[in-house]
Amino acid sequence: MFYASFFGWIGRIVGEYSLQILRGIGITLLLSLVGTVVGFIIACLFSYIKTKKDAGVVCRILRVFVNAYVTVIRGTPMMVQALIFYYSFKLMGINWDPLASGLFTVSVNTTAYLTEVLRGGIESVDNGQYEAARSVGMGSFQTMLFVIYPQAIKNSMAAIGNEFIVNIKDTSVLNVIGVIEVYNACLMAGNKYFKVVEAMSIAAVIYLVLTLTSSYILKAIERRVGSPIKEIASSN
Amino acid sequence: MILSIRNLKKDFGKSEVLKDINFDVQKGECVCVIGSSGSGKSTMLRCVNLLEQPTSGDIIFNDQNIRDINVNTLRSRIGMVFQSFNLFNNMNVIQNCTVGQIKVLKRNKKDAEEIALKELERVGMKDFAYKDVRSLSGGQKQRVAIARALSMNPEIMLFDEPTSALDPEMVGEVLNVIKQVKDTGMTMVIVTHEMQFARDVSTRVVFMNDGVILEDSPTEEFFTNPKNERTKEFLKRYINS
Repeated sequence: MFYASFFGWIGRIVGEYSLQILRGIGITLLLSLVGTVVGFIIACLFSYIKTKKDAGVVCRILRVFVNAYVTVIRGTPMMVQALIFYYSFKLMGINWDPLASGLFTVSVNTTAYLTEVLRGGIESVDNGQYEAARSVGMGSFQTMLFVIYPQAIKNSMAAIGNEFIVNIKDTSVLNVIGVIEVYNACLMAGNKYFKVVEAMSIAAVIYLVLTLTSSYILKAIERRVGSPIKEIASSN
Repeated sequence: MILSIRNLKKDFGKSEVLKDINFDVQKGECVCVIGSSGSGKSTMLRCVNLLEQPTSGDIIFNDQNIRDINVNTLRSRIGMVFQSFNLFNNMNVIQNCTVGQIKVLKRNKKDAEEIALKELERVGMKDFAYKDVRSLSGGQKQRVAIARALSMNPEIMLFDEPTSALDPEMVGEVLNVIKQVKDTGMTMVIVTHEMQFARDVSTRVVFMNDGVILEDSPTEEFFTNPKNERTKEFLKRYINS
């Protein structure tokens, strides 16, 4: 009779599938972390292409590509993207496992969002910073690297952290290509006894703990990195 | 002649900001450019280091047309001081003064810091070398900006209204520093609204109005015996206020 109760079932599922669920947590964290880091690195490049001043022909062609990329990726669901990438690569003869495909999808997706985040961060840096750097003789790339990006990234820290937290939850859609992350692990565990509500309650609690912990850690990092750079209004 | 501007024109879209500017700067001269807002003073200055692309005309820097000089090399040889300071917010005071030396002039860090400290001492900011720039007052920021420009050992210094964004109390300290720099023999072009300062420091004054140079005379002559009617009117208003 004990197992008939809600918490009883939860206890039983967790007990029986603890390894699989733990593994799911690991996969979810791996996907979010790799996705955010890879996305951030590529977004640095893409936002440079998007915001470069007096851009040459090559840069302007690349900009068209980046704009199209951002529009398409942000305008379509990650679940659809995951299926397209997974099966189209298979059709091309690349036999990759669901996890590799999932990492690819979430990285591609995060790149698009972070490109826009960084573009905003770059545009929030006063143009005087750019002019001053160019005036001491730094080239366009040096100016971005040493003066603009350090400030733009600092200004964007909150949004970048937010993207990581969104990724923790949104990678659940990668179950469609068979990635066994938190949601999928819990679902499979619950399915054995047809206990969906119990299984999803477990998943919900895990997601909540993951997102809360991450936002706590991210806040600590933000404090370490320092307050966003803003001119104090009366600093003259 | 260190700088020679020939038939300089600059349009922004339909509006003509500079209409045929001609003017020369000799080595060691200190030229003040005055005139009402919107007369093109800043634009002219910004054309010299190509922050603005001239629409037409030539600018000759040390016998070389600036079109034939690599733009980054040109800028590293010209010191620029802005109205709004524009110190690099992500760096402390000394890093502001070394980053250009290290990245552009390829000096090593030790030499760059030595030079930076020397220049910071000159502007009275040596004690602030390791402070965050955001903690400085406006006058202090502008003095650091001057040290940053001087650290590059420029051949000429351009000042774009260096005291216009400052508290009246802080104007003096910045003007004193500029005067001191002038006394070392640095060639300077200063866009300013500070008439008394222009009179004290400059060797020549250029008066601009509506995109043209109306008067270009030695300082004493400019203030005591201006030729142009518009100049007289301008000076009268300033002296009365």
